[in-house]
Amino acid sequence: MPDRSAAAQASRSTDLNNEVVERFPRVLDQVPAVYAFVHRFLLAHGISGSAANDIHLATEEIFTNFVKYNNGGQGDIRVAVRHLPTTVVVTLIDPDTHEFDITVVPPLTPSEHLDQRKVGGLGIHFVRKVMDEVHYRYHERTAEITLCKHLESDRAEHSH
Amino acid sequence: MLNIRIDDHGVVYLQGRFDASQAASAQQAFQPLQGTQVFDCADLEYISSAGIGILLELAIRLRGGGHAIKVVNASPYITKVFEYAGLRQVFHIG
Repeated sequence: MPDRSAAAQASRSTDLNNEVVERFPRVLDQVPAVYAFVHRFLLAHGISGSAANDIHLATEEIFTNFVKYNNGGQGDIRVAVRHLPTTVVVTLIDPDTHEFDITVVPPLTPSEHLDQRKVGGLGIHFVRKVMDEVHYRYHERTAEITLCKHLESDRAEHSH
Repeated sequence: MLNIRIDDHGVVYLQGRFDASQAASAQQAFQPLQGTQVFDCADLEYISSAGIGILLELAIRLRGGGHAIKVVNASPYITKVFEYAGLRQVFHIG
């Protein structure tokens, strides 16, 4: 059965004009630089509004997770953004980390009651909420998280 | 960049992007806040879990004194993020 996911499509794409890659030091001060990098790409491809915000949110959450939970890791974090006909694919790669598959983390149901709330734990929850596909791969200390946003699903969301 | 301004009536105005790079400075700016706080988010363009966490931390602290956070003028996108965080009622967002 062929893999028809957007991530699989992305890995087969050879149009380099539709992909940009950049490396960022693993510090939280780099978050605005990651935003600017993704923003430039989305703008060049005419992607804005809610879809762009969703992509920025998920990208930041993964980048900050890589930074916060792997302080001692070596090497920069790589961010790649690719535009397929109806999908934006963002891939974040940490080249020196432990295995932590975010796709198997139990779903979170945040309580509306403040006395039952604790600070933290929302990042992965947001990623799942705003992205259409999330993929995780781990091999030889390298973690790769791929985020897919289907642009037509965003348009459909706003037509209702 | 996140700009935080507090007017003479104690209303807190957030402007810009409340991301993880701004969390520490925002946490420091919110430290003196006491009593129920109104946050005007008309010019808040973006918020991530890091920003939400700082606001939630403040809300939990204020709640100890019987006070709360009220968020006003948030854009539909910011409201959606608060809703995903389960904070729409907690922050009294209409």
